[in-house]
Amino acid sequence: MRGCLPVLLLAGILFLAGCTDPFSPVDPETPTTSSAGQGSTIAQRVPVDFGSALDSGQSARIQALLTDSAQMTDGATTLPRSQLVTCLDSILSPSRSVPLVWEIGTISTAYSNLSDSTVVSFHYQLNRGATLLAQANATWTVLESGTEWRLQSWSETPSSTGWIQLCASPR
Amino acid sequence: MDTVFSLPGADTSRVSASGQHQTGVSTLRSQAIDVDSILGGSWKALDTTSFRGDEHGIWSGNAFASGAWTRDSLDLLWRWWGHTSGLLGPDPSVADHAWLQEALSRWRFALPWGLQAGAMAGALAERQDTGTATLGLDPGQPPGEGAASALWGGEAGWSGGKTIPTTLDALVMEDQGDGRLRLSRRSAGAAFLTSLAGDGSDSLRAFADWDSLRLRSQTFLTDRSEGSREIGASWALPVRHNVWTFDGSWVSSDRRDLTGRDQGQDLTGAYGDIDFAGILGAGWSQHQRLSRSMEDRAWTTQRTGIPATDSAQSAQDRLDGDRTGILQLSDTLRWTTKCGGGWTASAGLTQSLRQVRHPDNPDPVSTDRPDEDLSRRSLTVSVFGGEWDWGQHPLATWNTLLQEDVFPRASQSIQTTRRLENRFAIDLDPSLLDAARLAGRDTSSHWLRPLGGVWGREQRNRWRFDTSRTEGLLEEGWSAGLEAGPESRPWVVLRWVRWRVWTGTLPGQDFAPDQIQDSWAPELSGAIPLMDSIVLRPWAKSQVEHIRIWNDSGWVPEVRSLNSSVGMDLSWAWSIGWLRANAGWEWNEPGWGGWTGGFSAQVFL
Repeated sequence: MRGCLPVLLLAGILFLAGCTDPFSPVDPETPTTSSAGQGSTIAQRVPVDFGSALDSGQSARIQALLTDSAQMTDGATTLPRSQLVTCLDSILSPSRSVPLVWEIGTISTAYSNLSDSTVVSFHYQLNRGATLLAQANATWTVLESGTEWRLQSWSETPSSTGWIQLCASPR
Repeated sequence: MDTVFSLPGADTSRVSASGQHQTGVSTLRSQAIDVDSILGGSWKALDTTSFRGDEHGIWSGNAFASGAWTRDSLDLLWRWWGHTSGLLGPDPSVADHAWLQEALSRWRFALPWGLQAGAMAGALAERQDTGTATLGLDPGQPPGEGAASALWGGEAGWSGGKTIPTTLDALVMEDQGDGRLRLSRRSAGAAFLTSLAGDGSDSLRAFADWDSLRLRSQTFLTDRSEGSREIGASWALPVRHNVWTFDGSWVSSDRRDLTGRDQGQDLTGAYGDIDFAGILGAGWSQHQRLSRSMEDRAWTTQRTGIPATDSAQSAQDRLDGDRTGILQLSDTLRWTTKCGGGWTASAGLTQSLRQVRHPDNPDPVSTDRPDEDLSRRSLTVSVFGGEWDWGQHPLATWNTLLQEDVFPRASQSIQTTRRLENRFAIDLDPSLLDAARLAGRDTSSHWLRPLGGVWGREQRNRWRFDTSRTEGLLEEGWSAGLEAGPESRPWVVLRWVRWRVWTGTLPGQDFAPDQIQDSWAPELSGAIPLMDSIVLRPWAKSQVEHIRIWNDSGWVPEVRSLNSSVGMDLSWAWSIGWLRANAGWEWNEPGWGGWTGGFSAQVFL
């Protein structure tokens, strides 16, 4: 048994000498677009940043403001993230030359029963030129990840001028 | 074979009590132990109480009392647990009280082949005076008012073996089953000690344990089952002036909360350690340790009977399951010499990697529990002075830490960070004292002794995939003071501590602070001997903190806070006991102020 000790000792020395480094972590994967550090710095900035991205037609920026499991609902219909992104891309299509204008009223903050999240409520109005595309009272649950905030859940009451109606017939 | 009837800690007769009041919250604790001979047998009794009063003057408390009597082959045991809450509150209907009692008897007898055995019988009962806020044991159900159950069981044990000392134990305790009050337990264990070399130069200890518990009680507000299984071995092998130690164990445990309030957990773990330590000669000594552990956890939430809820919770339980692996290595080399006063240097490299994976969640989103690798490499160098030594306290220490916190999955890898931190500390308190001693001063008599120390820390945090995001921290601090009077019991100690912390960003290799925290902490204490055994210690301390923010044109004062307190301690020691008491006044700006106080006492009977 004692004859094995020098072998064990040598193995330990090689271990330390850098022949192999079992203490280094794996290489991380490249971050997805939605997690690439383009969230908002505070919870109340999420609807503001969302509007800025809409006004300037930045689809990637909007997607970065949505969590991977984001969804929107009006109580009757629910759009998962993929459908919400498709809808936004359609609204932001380059073929539509007149830019969008996103206006919001006072943002109120409420307690959320989910950890690392905040609920913000506001009235919004989306216009293309002089044409009203959508308006509603929205309630957003925004989620903190690291030091950034993103939209997790968007809910509003069913309305003919609501966002889901806009997605049903983008214009 | 004495797992149920032993009273841990009941060794000598004594009474002790303590109390504390701070920030409006009061606590009171007491303990009484009686060890005696009664009716020709040995008697042990233990009583503990613990009460807490909150800032609204509402009190709650727990108590435990037990007594054990042993004579010849007969053992008697009585245990009592009590709980009360809502006392002295504005609404008496909220108050509730509950107790649970257990009485057990055991008759011990010998069996062939050196086996020792015992037969047990007893009873268990509980009673509640419920209040309007008392929770039912099962969610949505009213709390029970009382229940009882009979207990019976047996235990057996064997110890022996001349060349291989071995112990075997087994216990079975059953209740009536399916009642509102349940306590049953089964356990078994085996252990042996031997030498593989055969000459006693090495030692091998191996063990195996198995345990299961079923407890349902309104008093403890619990309805749970627990089980655990463990096997392990430890082998110590001396080689010249060094010792190899090999440890390995495997553990499996399960826990179920049948009320559904907490998640159930299944844990499987395997652990191993290799340790090599000893003297190398010429003043050198070494200590190497390599540890490896693997743990698998699975979670189970009690089913509600609502299909949609159970399905969602079951899916979440699967996503939460994790596998954690930890690999740790520490190498320490020490050198000691008697030249120049017997300096001791110590260098240690510690490396660790903690890997967490969620194997049942192959496609995590950003809000799921993350896969994570936390890699830490730390180098510590310490210097101890032989003559300039105060116990194991180092004179100077340097520590460098490199930490990589990697989130491997694409949905979470944006959080990947790297931290570099350097710290140093020089503690001059003992050195200055020893300097006076080396200079021939009699520091045990009434002398003024200087106190002092300095420390510093710098930290750099960078985000791998967000190069615009960086954090830096710089801290420096010092302390200075004077101590007057005998070394063992100084009359007066005055100390002044100041430290500053800069935080900001790291543009390139530079540091751009945008906040400065500046703190002072003066402290003064004294000792006034009233009699040989009574000492009065008045004290006062304060901490002032300023925070300044950089607003692109200059430093702007933002926050100032103050925490101060003044008070007095009294200690009184006599031949069979001691009493310590303190009272003071504390105020915070901004914040709360009020009186603080406490006492502790112990008397041996």
